[in-house]
Amino acid sequence: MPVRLIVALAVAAAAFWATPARATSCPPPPNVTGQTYEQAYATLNGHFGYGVVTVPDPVPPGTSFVSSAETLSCIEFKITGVRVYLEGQVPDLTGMTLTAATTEAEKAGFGVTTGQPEATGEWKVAQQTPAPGGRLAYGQAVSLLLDGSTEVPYLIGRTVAEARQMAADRGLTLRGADDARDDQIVEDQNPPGGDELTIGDAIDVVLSEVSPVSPSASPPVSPPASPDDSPSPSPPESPQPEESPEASPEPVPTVAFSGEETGSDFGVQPWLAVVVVAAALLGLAGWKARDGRRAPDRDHDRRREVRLVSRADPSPNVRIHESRDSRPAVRLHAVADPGRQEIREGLS
Amino acid sequence: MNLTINPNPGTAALALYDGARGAVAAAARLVRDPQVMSTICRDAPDLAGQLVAQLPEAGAGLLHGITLGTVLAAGWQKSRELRAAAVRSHEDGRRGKTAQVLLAAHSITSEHRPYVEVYTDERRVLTITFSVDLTFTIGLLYAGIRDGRLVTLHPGGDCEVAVSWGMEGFKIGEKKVPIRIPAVAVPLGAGILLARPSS
Repeated sequence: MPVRLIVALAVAAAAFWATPARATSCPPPPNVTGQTYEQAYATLNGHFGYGVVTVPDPVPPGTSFVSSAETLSCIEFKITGVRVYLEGQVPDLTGMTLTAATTEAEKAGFGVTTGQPEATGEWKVAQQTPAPGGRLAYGQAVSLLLDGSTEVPYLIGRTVAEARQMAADRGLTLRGADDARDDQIVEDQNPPGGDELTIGDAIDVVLSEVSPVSPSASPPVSPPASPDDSPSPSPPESPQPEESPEASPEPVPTVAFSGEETGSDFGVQPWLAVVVVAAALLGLAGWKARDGRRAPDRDHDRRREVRLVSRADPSPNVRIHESRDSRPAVRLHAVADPGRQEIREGLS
Repeated sequence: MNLTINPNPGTAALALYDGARGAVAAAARLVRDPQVMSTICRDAPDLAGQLVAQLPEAGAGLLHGITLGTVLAAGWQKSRELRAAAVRSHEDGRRGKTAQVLLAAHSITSEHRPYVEVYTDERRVLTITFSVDLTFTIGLLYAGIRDGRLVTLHPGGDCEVAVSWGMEGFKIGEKKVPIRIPAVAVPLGAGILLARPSS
């Protein structure tokens, strides 16, 4: 029992010493709430001679206002020090990206908060609380409502390099173009241009096949504009003179060997065999030579294969035909309610 | 001319939000929640996208349409003390004279259930109910009663209103704010009718 009594006394003594007796016995400071910091300082320090401590310390740049004040210290009921809590004016963050808004708010002495955990730094501030110019205690957070929607650019017909830049400009990425060459052409995209995506999303793209030819024929290709691109790839229709049928390599070896096969059997004379072999080698060399000359022409033919590239109109003339709209037309009819009022009288 | 009561803030929307678009933004935040929209559009899921775009504006319009002055007037019309004073004001010798009645601390509650009907091709497919609940707490009220009507008001204490609103059971916002009811008086013969003369 005596032990419990001693413990209880010790706890009571500790509580007594821990109690900020000064705070309860000191009088409150003059009311400076709502004044600018300069006005409050002039009153508290200049007029009364109190020491002034600010929260935050140091005072942030710009105009600060006193949100509350309390006595910090006093001697025999005479105030010696006052702590003032300051608030500032919230800057206009609307239209900024979350990253920029965070920097701007921190520069002014505030934090930011948003109830949208999915937001990235590229999302833009649609609304803020407090409103621009409103007051907020330093260190508190400005509540932001962010908008992450962005319009999908029209990429079809663009090179991969252009498409990447256009997507990046709107906070989007390309999917399906990781290993692509910069000069490949976007042949299709999903979602289509003009749709909405959320910043950070990816646009699926289908690219043209990798072409072995020089990039001079690349982007953006407009097939109907060039008459050179219109012919079919078959050699007879090619305007190149080297592609005439008589220049074809096939007859050379055929003639050389067919003569041997039709005019002799396996019991030929050795000199004839030497002649035949020599002729065959000559013919083969000639065919090879002609074939070598044709090589660039074949490349040319391959380059001239017809390739169709769809290209969206970047500024289409969009019209809405309501009667053909596949989505149902929605009409909202708001019905007000005057409400049911009750009164309780004689509240204590 | 009737007695009009113009408290500040004047509407349920302005009691809840500082800016005129605050109610729209708050409703938009709610309808962007997939769970909310799947609940609201369970009978017409293909409309979700269009409702996300249109519903906040319609709901905010309903909130803006609830004027606090009208609600207060409707509440005071149900006051037993004021109605008793109004009946007395028709008695001989009291007609044409304004009697001052002190209404002690009281509260007025008002429940509103406005709704939005959604039509597609002129066929109603959804009804989305909003809830707006108001509770006024009024310290003192000096009321002038003449010829059965409430003709003057002089609030004598603190007044505040608590507002909450929601949609289909989902809370959109709530707030408790002080309100200022200006002292008003109206010309002879007008006012809010509390009791008709007995024939």
